[in-house]
Parts: sequence; C-alpha cells; structure tokens
Amino acid sequence: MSGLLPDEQELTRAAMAGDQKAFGLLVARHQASIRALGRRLSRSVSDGDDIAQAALLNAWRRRSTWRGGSFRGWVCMIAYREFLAGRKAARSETELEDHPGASGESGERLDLMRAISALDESERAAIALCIGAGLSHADAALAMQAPLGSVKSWVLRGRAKLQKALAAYERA
Amino acid sequence: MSEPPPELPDEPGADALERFFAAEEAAIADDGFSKRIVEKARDEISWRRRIVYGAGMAGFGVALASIIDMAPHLPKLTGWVDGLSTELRQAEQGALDPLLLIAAAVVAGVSFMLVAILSQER
Repeated sequence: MSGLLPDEQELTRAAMAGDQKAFGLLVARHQASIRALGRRLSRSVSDGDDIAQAALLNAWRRRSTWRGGSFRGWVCMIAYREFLAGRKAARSETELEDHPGASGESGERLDLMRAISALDESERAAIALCIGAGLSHADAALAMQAPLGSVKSWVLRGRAKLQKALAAYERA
Repeated sequence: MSEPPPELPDEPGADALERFFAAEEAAIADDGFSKRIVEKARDEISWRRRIVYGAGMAGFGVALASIIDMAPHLPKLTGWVDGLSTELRQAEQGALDPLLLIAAAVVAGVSFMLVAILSQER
C-alpha cells in the first residue's frame, strides 16, 4: 500500500470506533469489490448494489461486533448473509431477471460471466467469496455456514468449470 | 447501469480468472455509491442521537416532576444529607421512604442517560 494512503488497519480500527471519515474512506476503497461480490452472487447489477449497500450499512451499525481482521473480508461475509436473507424473501416472488448471459445471443463470443452464472449456487458463492472477494476457505466456510471441505470442493469444481470456459474462449 | 464490460484476460487459468475478477471490479466506478452510504450512515447516527437524547431528557423530566410532586415530603435542604443518611439507616432496617426511592431514581436515571450517550457515540 502506498505511504500516502492511510494504513488499512488503522482506518479499520478508527471506523469501528465510530469515525465516520475513516468509514467513508474504507467504503470508497472497497466499494467496487463488495458491489462485484453482490452482483456475482445475485447475478444482477441492481440487486448486487442493494446487497452491497445493506452490507456496508449493517457493518456500520454492528461495528461494535467487529473482532479484528480485514474490513473487506468482514463486509463480504455480511454481504453473503444479506444475499441469503434477500433471496429467501424474494424466492417465491420473482425469478432472476437481468443476470449476465441471460440473453444468450448466438455467435457471440463466450462470456465468462455466463459461465459463472451457469455454476451451481454453492460453487458460484464459493468462487465469488474465495477468488472474487479474496476470503480464505475458512472464512468462506464460516460465511456460508458450510463444512470447510465442501467449500474447498466447490471452489475446486467451480474453478475447473470456469477455466474450461476460459480455454474455450481462447480457442474461439 | 452502463458500465463498460471488463476486458477478458490474456490466457486461461487460475491467474486469468483472478485477473478477470480484478478487471470486473476495476470497471465498477464509484458513481456516488460511497457518498450515499456515508450519508445514510450519518443520518442513522443523527436519528439515534435524537432518540437517545429525547428518551434521556424525557426520563429526567419525569424524575424531576416526581420530585416536585413529592415536595411537601422532602426535608429542608440544610438537613438533606443528614436526612438521607437517616433514611439509609432506616432502609437497612427495612423502613423505605419515598425520598430515598426518588433519590435512587434520579441517580439511576442520570446514570442510564450517561451510559446511553456514551454507548451511542461508539
């Protein structure tokens, strides 16, 4: 990290102690990765941004429960729970509408996002958390409330499928 | 949302996947998102502060009104400390006086308000 930028740990500690400015800097620094995680999980830009917003505001409200570690990792775990809660509420109402790759134009170059969308839900979540958000397998297992072995297996399988998709794209 | 699609990485493989994700994140511009989050967080603090201060002041007002209602029963100011110690001694023997209860209520009310203010600053 550049010497000009405030240290991440210092900022996180300040934000968790209620410093709004520090919290704002952390949000600006990590908004893209948290929104990307939300979008990958929900397969929707607007839903993904809603998940990211809810996760960040929940992180702010529940900052007294922060027990150290990376701000980004912590918020990503909250975002995953927000995704699960939102999905549970909306399950009976709508099907996913605007996920990438849904249009399925023929002749179009292979879209990796379509491959991600085609993954099993557990694989996609594990890939989004571990590769996308950079969480450790253990943290992802904690967030997903799943056995560590299952998470490792989902990441492995999901990664293999995506690599296959990338290879196909390379050949195209 | 009209963000440009992320560029695909040069070669397949695990690194390529990570690069793809990184490129995808890089394509997400901060279009006022951070500002909105910080504003909402600030609004929440403001409302919480108003609620805590309001509740604290209301409680303090009730305690004060109770003291005024009990005015005829209060001892003279000069004898207040002696009176309180006498009350405490009597309380030990099981004879509680409303004055003691009021004093305890005021102390408790002020303490709760201080704790609430300190907590909501976190």
